[in-house]
Amino acid sequence: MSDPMEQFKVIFFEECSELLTNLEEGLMQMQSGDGDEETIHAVFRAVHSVKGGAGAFGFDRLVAFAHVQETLLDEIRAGALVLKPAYVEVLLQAYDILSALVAAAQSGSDPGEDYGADIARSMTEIMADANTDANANTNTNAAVTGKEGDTPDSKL
Amino acid sequence: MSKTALTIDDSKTMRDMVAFTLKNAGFDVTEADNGQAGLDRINGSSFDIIITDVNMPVMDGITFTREARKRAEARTTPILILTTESGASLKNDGRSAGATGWIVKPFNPEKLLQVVEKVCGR
Repeated sequence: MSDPMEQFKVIFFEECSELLTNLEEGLMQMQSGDGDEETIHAVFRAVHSVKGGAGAFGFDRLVAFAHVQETLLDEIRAGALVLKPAYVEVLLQAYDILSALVAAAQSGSDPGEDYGADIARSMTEIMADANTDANANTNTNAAVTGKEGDTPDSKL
Repeated sequence: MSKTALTIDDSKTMRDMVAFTLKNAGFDVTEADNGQAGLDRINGSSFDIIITDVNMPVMDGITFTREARKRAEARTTPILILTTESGASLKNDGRSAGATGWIVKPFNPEKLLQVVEKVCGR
């Protein structure tokens, strides 16, 4: 009998193919302005599922990149970050990297140590900039109300 | 008689891995791909254990847990949440909804069985 983990890996890569298609379609909808709240959730879930499966098989590079992408999408779906066209462009570039990392995991090839690092950095910078803006707003609110330490409500 | 388990996950890979692990441990396993489908499965059936993902379309795992606890068939069934997320706020949400335990991915068959055996008293 063949190794069950190898069988699950085949299923995982089949599922990745569907998830990446869903991800690309969702991002294209977001780019054209046709996306709604469910589109963001679906895009988030696609990356989340790729990451979840990749973790089970020890595809660490894939997990690490998907984690950054997932965190950015989580902030967007939670409303902590207002979506801008420039962010969608970065997310589309991240989709290309994610697809390539899935392909590399499937073929067992090495995409190179720094592959995708620039896009991961762009996503991290978007989140850092958004947090800086949020803190600036919080400080302004605290000054207006005189209540230090108030923070905006966080969403799940 | 075999013990019964319900596994709920929108990822077929995860469902298959959980089902395979539990079947090997002697469970009769039923699968569902979202929380609402999970609720439909417990309609009139009781399981010895339920394992659910959090992020799913149609109905998420936290809402599923809250709704399942309202059903007589699942009021006391151990419900384990299997997810990549380990944040305190999500854990609190899971606990408030009525979850019995929490297993953080990456999926590990031994870890899953350890927790399942603990909560099922096997």
